[in-house]
Amino acid sequence: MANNILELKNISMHFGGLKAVDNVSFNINEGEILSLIGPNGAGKTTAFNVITGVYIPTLGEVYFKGQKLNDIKPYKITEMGIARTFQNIRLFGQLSALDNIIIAMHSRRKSNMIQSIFRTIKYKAEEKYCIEKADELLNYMDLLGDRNEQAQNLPYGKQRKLEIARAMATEADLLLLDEPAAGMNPQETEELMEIIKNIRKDLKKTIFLIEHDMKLVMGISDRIVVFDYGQLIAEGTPEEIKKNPRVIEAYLGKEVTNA
Amino acid sequence: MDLSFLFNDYVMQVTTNTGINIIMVLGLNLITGVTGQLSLGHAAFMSIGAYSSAILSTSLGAPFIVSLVTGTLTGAIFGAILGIPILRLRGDYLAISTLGFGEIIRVILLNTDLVGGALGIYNIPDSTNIYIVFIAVAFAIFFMYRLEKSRHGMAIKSIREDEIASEMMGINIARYKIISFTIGSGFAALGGTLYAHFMTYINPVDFGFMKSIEQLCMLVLGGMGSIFGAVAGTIVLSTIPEFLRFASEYRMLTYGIVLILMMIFRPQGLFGKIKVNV
Repeated sequence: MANNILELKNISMHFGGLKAVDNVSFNINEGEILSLIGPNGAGKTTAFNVITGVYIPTLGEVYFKGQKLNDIKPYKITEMGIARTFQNIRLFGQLSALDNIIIAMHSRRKSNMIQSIFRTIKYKAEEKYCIEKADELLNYMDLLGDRNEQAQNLPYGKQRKLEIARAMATEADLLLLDEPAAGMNPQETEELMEIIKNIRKDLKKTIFLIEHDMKLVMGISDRIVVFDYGQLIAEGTPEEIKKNPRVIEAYLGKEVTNA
Repeated sequence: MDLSFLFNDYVMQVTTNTGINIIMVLGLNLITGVTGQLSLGHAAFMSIGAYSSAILSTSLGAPFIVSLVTGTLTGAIFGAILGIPILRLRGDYLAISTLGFGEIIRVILLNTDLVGGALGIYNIPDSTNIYIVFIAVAFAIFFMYRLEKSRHGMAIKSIREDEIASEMMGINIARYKIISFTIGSGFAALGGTLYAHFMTYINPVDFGFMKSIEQLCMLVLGGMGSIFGAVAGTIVLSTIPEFLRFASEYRMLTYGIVLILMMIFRPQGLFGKIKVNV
């Protein structure tokens, strides 16, 4: 069995009477691309928020590399190696693309306040290293030409890519992508598919994504988990999911037999 | 050309006063312009610096440098103390609580006989001179510039841009908000310390709500989030009233007019490049 990097054990997330996520368990294996699909309001983003520490689950446990995440602050979880993007883009809009990347490197840097104020040799070396690495990442994402552009002025597709680059800059092993293809045209989606595949191949990252674009999901996922009304209704390879009657029912409704 | 007219006592005084304001407004810029946390109680930290240093200098006869450092640190500590409980507040709620804090400090000073009550503290040695103020201003600008460029400054800026994203990118936002409040208040207190040893007399009225607003106006005029803007805005609003002495009753009126025109024609301030949503 492959090594699992993230494990959700009987996770429930209740908001008052609403069971946004209800007793869900699944694993993410190291190095795989796992997709989470489901109709709107199925609790997909809530699951992301539980994993990244925004919400503390009502019941159940989350383990990352064997370590329990339940009471750990979001920024610590990022430090441990989970980074995410957002459904509605959340870049640091008035800062340059380069600065967006550099900020994400924060938890990997060590210079303290005094070193920063007086720009010691150590600080300068760290700064130089970071800028080089950030440029490398921007280049990888084909954004190098926009490095000094304010993030908010970038076209939509590039903002999406910059957000992925920013998540990668945290040096996380597990990337959570929340609807990375939302609002992209078919050509951009195609390009995004390539990027995600390459990230996994070149950088040995594990990728967990939420997506509505079925072409993308079916095209790149190793496995898929399906949510409906907060419950996990199916789990398997793209082929299995396509044929699964419960999934079809969740998306299209039940066939009416005796009307 | 004879420039000696520039070096009379009056010009020196205005310049010193402007310099002191610059230091405090740079502190406010860190909190409000860079971190995006609206503070309406900045004068309170100024008063903490002024009072603690004045007490040291008068009652205990401490040398100026000791008062200066202690006053600044006391202000910074109070900044940290205030920073912790109001971390969760945002926008108008934050503004109201900093305003409340400012008033509490003023009323405490007003009613504590130990610090002179309404009479304030007088006979403070006049240790502040223009050179010390110049050095302090240069230090403040240098410090703020370097801080903003560093990873710590970047982290602070990212809080202004998007708190949630910032935390998700591995930044301990609670820690950086406190750091920002601490440093910003420290600079307010440094300004207060210099102010006390410049005026040689302080009382609680000097540090009221209007003082906080005045500092905020200087920052908004110059441009929030811009060091150059903070300095420029302070110079403009510290010197304009001097040119308008002939119309002394209408001085505050010009203040208002300048700000209204500013908000209509250049809301980001004279030299501001960014929009701060507080």
